[in-house]
Amino acid sequence: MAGFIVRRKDPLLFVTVLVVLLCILASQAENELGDSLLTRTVMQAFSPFVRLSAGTSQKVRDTWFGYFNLVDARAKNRRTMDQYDRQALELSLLRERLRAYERSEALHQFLEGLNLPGEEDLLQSIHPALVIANNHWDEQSRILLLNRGSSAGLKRNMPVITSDGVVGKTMTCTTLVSTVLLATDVNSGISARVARSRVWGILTGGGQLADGRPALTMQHISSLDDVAEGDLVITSGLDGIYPAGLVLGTVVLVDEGPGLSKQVGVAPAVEMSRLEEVLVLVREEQLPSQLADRDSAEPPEEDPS
Amino acid sequence: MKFLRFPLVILLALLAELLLPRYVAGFFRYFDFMLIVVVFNSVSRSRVQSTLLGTASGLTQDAFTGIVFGLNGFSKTVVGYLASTFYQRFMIDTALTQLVVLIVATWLNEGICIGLSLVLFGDPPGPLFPEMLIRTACNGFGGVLLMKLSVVFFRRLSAGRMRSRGVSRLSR
Repeated sequence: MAGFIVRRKDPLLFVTVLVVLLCILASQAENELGDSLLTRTVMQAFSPFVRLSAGTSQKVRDTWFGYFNLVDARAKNRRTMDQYDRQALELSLLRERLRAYERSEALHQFLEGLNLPGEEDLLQSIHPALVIANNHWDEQSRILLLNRGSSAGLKRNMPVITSDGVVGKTMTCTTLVSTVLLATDVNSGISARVARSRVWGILTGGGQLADGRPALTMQHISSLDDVAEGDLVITSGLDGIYPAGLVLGTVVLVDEGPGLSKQVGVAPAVEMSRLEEVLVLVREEQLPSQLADRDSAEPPEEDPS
Repeated sequence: MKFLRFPLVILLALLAELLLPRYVAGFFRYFDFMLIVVVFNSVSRSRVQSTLLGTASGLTQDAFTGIVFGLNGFSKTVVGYLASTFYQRFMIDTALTQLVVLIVATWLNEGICIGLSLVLFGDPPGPLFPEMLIRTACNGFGGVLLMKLSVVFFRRLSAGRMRSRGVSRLSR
């Protein structure tokens, strides 16, 4: 018997193990699955190693993928920042376009409501132009450079305006660009009128307001003339350049001048430093006499006031 | 230290089976590392050792995979005993033989599991046929590759030990 067992120990062990395993399986078939003493024992034996290895693997994995995620995050951050910059630029351009549209809309409304008495036949067309250079801060020569020239029909001594009022007049017109002598320039002279009292005078540039902004000075005003602070000053139309009725500015200072005259300071209606688009009043017919240099307009023989 | 080899091998196979699909790549779930270990060890072990290794590895697998305890224990015991018997009879250990043995072992293992589940529980937990094919391929080719790699590794390890012993003797 012992010899048989020794000779057949392998198959006997094999069969014994199988029988034991079958018993285990059969016991589970009758009872509830999942939580047996054997399961718990085997799990208990291996679980510390498994837990340790899983924790280590998790840390290695986190470190490894965290590194790559970090690299990727940097690249992604760079891409996002580029995209943000592009979109910010795009937004800025769109906002600027919206502002330009609003300005052009204001100009359009201004033109629709423009009523120039006696000048309708002369008013052939109005050319919008962009300001490509602005020299308003130079006390010696306050001029603008427009992106329109003689090819667009611009000539010397054409009024340049905005919806707020008068800017100045064209000075030198090349084929593609033109210069504009600002109303605030020291060499400018515009025949003007106080809208309320109809007092006439010559509005010249070169002055300065208390806050440092350029100002206009209304000359040839008698001490008896009715001019008060806050009065609106408009063009008279007598200089042959500007149509009558365009806004020039508001009286901000009335003081006693030399002799029997008054010193009248006028704040320009147009903020010259912020000009971007202007309108040039192009006239089909302009008399040679009207086109003569009138940088300093002379007072009329008869005072209309 | 020899008595630690079995638990160590089982532990390595268990860790590979539990951790590789989660932390490395999902397709490792098709590998039955316990089965590969059982077949690989049956080449050089006695039938008793192979049988016991099959039982231990199968039970460990059952404990950690949550299926019926003893199902894999039973099937791997059979696989270990039969593989060991095969290698003792034919003494052929080529890559092709290993591939065939691994493929047969995979199907035998799954067949026993499905059969026992049907008989004892009436609920076969067996995989679908396409998955079975993938598992066969993974166990077959992956097992052969692992066997070759481990052979190379242990050969270099033993060569290194011999060299170090020789050097220590000369230095004396």
